[in-house]
Amino acid sequence: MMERSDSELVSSILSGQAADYAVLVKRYQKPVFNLMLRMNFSVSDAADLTQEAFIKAYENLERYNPVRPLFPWLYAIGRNLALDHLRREKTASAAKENLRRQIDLVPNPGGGGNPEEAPDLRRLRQCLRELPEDYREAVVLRFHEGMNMKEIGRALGLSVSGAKMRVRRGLVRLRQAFFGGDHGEEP
Amino acid sequence: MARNHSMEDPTRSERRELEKIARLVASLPDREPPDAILDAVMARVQPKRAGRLVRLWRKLRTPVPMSPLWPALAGSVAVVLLVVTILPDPVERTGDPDTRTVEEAAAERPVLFTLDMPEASRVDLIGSFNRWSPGRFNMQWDESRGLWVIRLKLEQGRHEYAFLVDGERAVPDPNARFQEDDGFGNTNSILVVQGGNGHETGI
Repeated sequence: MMERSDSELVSSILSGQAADYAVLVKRYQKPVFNLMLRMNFSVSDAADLTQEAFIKAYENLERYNPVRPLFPWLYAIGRNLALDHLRREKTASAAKENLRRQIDLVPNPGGGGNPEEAPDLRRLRQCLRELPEDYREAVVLRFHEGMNMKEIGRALGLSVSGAKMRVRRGLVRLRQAFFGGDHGEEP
Repeated sequence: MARNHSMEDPTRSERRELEKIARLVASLPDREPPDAILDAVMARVQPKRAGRLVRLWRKLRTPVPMSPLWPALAGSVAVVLLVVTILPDPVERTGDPDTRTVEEAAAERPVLFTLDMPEASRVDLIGSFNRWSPGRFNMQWDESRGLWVIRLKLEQGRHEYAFLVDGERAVPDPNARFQEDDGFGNTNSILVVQGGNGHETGI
């Protein structure tokens, strides 16, 4: 049976079927939670912020434009919440240390991946941590979450050309950090 | 002086490195969220109040005991229905040129993807609709047509996709009407699903 689309679920929720929101939470809690972890929050804080993001999204569901994909909209809510939290609490550096300690302890839940790539993935995580947040998220949204440039623009509050540039620069910076050397230096 | 051609004109080796980085980012394992998130969210959400039309529809479907006043009541309902119909419903949004109702947006259309590549031993369809994840949409070899095929229902709108051949080589749809360079030397095919009787690609 074909699973219900996001817009069908939103339609149902707006007509009073609150229980259908659980389907959307299950569908998107993982990327939102991992966004929070990338933003350097502890697991516990990341869970709390994920929860807050979904509650805020529910409260504002009438404002979601159903012709557009839901995930960039949800993602933007989660990211703005996280940035506000970081600004307000000024815990960025403390949280960063938290993550630095914890991320190396995170087991690889993929399991079935190519074992030869494990060192590469570890190295990539390290390089991603050191990338500025706006570049990191642009690259992750494009290549990990599979968003197109328009969706990335909506999620990050950029124009399409701005999103494209952010992704390209992020990828080039990541490549520099990963492979080293002075090639591909940005101005 | 540092070279700056990676942004506009990567060399072959730089492109290979960029592709490797992109592949690694795609395969980064995600951490599972705690189960408590779902329960905590659902404990705090209250049912939305339905729009006027939805409430009226439910009210009309509720059985009403017959009485001598029934014809008058039916007449009143008809008047209310007429008034409500000409008022804007809160579900509909204004001020946004591409706004449609959720019901319209919910429509999905059947799409047939095909690829003429008999030498492949496995083909996956990857795209924006499955977060570019291989393994979710395995194409089947159709002996009678001599094509790899998969039939899906996709929401109306714009979708990017490619075929992942033998798990390692992403190729665009040679018959797609639109292609888009992703900026790193890869080409994605573009499919725009519109209303009607479905859209077939690659035929």
